[in-house]
Order: sequence, then C-alpha cells, then structure tokens
Amino acid sequence: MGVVNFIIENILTQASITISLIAMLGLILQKKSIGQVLSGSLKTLLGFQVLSAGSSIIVGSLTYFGEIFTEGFHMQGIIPSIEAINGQAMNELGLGRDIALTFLAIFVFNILIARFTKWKYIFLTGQAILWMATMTTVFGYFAGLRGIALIIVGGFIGGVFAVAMPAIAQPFIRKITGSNDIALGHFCTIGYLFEAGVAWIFGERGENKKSVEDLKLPKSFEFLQDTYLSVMVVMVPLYIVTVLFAGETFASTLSGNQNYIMFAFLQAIQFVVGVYVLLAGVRLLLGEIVPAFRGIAMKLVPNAIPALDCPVFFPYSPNAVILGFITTTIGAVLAMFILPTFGLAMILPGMLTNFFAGGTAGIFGNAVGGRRGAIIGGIAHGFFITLLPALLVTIFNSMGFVNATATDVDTVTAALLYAWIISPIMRAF
Amino acid sequence: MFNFLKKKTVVKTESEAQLTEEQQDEMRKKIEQIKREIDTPELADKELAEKYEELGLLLAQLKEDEQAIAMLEKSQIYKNSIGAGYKKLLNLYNQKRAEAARNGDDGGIDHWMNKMDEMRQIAKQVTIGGK
Repeated sequence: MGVVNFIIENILTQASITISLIAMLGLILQKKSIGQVLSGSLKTLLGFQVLSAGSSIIVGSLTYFGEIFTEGFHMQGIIPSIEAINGQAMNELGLGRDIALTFLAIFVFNILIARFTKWKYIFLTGQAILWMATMTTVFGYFAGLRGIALIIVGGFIGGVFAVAMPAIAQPFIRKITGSNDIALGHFCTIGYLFEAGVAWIFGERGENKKSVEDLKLPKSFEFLQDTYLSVMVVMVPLYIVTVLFAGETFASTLSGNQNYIMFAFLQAIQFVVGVYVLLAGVRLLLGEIVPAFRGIAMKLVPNAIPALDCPVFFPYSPNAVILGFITTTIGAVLAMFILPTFGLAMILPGMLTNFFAGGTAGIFGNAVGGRRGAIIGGIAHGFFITLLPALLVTIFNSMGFVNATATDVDTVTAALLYAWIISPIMRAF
Repeated sequence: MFNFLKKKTVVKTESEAQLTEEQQDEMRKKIEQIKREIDTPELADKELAEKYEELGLLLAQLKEDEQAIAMLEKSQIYKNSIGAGYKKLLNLYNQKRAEAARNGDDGGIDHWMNKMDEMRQIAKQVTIGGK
C-alpha cells in the first residue's frame, strides 16, 4: 500500500511523468517497438523539462519588464505571448498535469465528435491544442473546477472548438482552395470570421471587387522567417525605450553595477532565449504525441478532413497574407494606444501573431471583400485580436500571471466562456 | 458572404474531368517533349523546377499519381514554389493520406502526414521570403 501511495503522491502528480505516460500510451496503441516507446516517452519527459526551463527564463525577464514599464508609463504593459502563459501555467501555477490530461481529452473528444457526427474535422495543429488545453485548464481552475471535472469539461470544450472552428471556416476555405479536401486548423478562426464580416460590410462586391493578388506588394519579410529573430526585433527596442522612460535612477536599482540600458538590452535577449528554449521544449514534447494520436485519429475516422496549420493556405493568396500582416499590425498598434483610454491594459503588439493570424485573416478579407475589404477588415482584425486578450488581463493578474496575456482568439474566447458563463454558474451552486 | 454558407457542389478540377483519348495522346507527347528539354544540360535550377512542375501537373491529369508526386517533389527540390504544382502536390499527398487511413496503414498515414508538414514549411518560407 505504501508503494502505491508513493506512486500516486510522488510520481503521478508530476506533470512531466503524466505527459510522458500519455505519449507512451499513444505509442503503445500505435504498436510501436519497445525501443520506440521508450525513446518517445523519454523525449516527451525531456521536452517538458526543457519547457519548464524556458518558462523560468521568460518569467524573470517579464518581471523586470513589468517593473520598468509601470515606472516609465504609470500603467501596466502586457506582452501577448501564449507561450509565456503556457509556461507559467504549467510550472509556476502547478497546472502542468491537468493541462497534459486536458490535452489528451481534447484529442479524444475531437475523435469522438468527428467519428459520430457529420463534422469530420480532425484538428492536427498540436501546438494549438496545447494552447487550448492551457486556457481551458487555467480558466476552468479559476471557475472552481478541480480534478476529473476540470479535465472532462476542458477536453469537451476544447474538442468542440477543434471541430467547430474548422467547420465554420470551411465555407471560406472551400472558396479559397476550390476544394473540400483540407480544412483550417488554427485557433484564430473567430478573428478570421470577424475580418470576413467587416470585409463583407465595407469591401468591394460583384464586378467592382478587385483582388489583392493583382497588386504588386513588398514580399521581403525575411526577418520573420526566423521566429526568434522576429521576436528580438520587437523586444529589444521595446525594452530599451521603456527603460529610458523609467529613467536611470529607478532602472539602476534593478541593474546593479551594470549600465541600465545594457541591462535592459540583455533582459530583452533573455526573453528571446526563454521563448527559444520553451518552444524547443514544446517541439520535443509534441514530437512524439502528435504523430501517435493523429495516426489513431485517422484510422478511427478514415473519411476525416484534416484541419491543418495556417501557412498551408498562404499559397492560395500570398499577397493577401502580406497585406493582412501589415493591416493587422496597424490595427494592433491603434488598439495599443486606444484601449488604455477605456481603462484596459496596454497590450503590446505581437509580431508573430500579427503575421500568422493577420496573414490568414487577410486571405479571408480578400476573398470576401477584395482589396478594400482586406484593408479595412485587416485593421479591424488587428484591433479585435488586441481587444479580446485585454479583457483577460485582470483575471490573469488575479491568478498570479506575470505581465502576459494569451494571443490566439479562439482560446481567448474559450477562456471568456469560462469567465462569463461557467464561472457564474459554478458560483450560483 | 452568406452565400458561402450554402452548400455548393465543389467544382471538379481539370484532373478530375474525363480526358478524351486524343487529349491524353496530346499530353503524352507534351510529356516526352518536356523530358527531352530537361535533358538539355544548360538549364538552370529555376527552369528545371518549372519543367518538372509542368511535367508533374500533366502526369497528375493523366492520373499517374506516383509519377506526378515524384516530378512535383523534384520541382520543389530545384526551387521551392507555391504555384499550381504546390497545390497539386498537397492535394496528392492528402489523397494518399486518406488512402492509407482507409487501409489502416499506420506507416502510410505517418509518411504522408509528414510530407504535408513539409508543405507547411515550404509555404511559410516562400511566402515570407518572397522567393
């Protein structure tokens, strides 16, 4: 009995062990060899620990940024980073095991819904499912759910999103790709529909509709090819400008003997290092689980429509991607200045989200409302995807998250569903 | 916008339409001609990529999927692109993935899904780099 208790209390409560066991289960179900099962499980374990290390680095840098921003601008400056939210939730908040189990539950519910309903979408973007599992777990916990209820509710809501989001985007995807073979699996879909709606209202129609694809646009955004370089391009000026506003007297109390501007520069680099390490951990973590479970899903739902990550759709409208990135960034910058006047936190623009979500939204805007639709829709999209995460800041703060908010709007919508509907219901009982 | 929500019959692509024997002969002649052009030693990588892409698209229309995949992959090796060849290759990979799923072939599902992941990387690089 003592041994069983030891296993339950000291081993199964460890998030890294739980997620490794999930990977092991997937690999065993796939009838992999003992060697593959062992190496896959160990890689997953390693991935979790690398992710934790990345999270600690990010938190250190964000804590510093929070202090200089508050001193410099007398308000809270929030960095939109779902990676930072995931890292903090998994480690500092101790929700890693629940997130891992919810991640598995989302897969299971996705397969069940696709198997037994007419919506045959299997969501294959593993990283996005991890972000969804993070948000449903964090906000489920905030609503008062615990244990198996937290996991089942999170898995169900995440599973419904994993089917519903590709399904509602599919009429547009059919128009864009000319076929029904593949679907869009990216948890920013509500933003894409928002842009499509705005483009429909303000865009061109009928014979007046001119596609962005007939325009000549600048195509070189090489700095975005390297995720880390693109984060650095934004974070370094952000930290340096902020520390200049905070002033030498205050900033020197944080930098010790080092020059305060140099210290801010290195802290910005630390943030990038944190994202680098954390994402390396995520890749290791998902590298074994996702192929195992997608194999199982495809066999159980042989007529599945695979929902794929957004870059797969870029070739169908490459100019719209670039225009979407530019217009979404403009909208996000406008929102950064406008939202604080309504008492909301200042959300700093996240270049990666602006590119991937903005680019894909641009394809939707162009398909529905041509050039004018893509431009107006894109700016509105940038504003929208900054507004939604701003609504979560107070809750994140109350839960102990450091200076960060989530990005992907579908995960934010799921979180708001918990905060505005499930939480009050839970409190009523 | 709301017209999108109506279920539409998906338009059949060129490759799905029935080809007459005459059209098939014409295509085979064109294929032979492109193969001869590919053998010309002076062709640069960009031109080779275009020739292989054209070849792959013709083979796909003739429903010679394996050959089409091989040629379209060669085109991507010479130069990554996101034109008609990219879209056809993604479509063929997805068909193969569905076939493997119907046959319960784990290895096949894995193989074709990995190929589709590679297409994601190509799309990202070419769109961002503008090359």
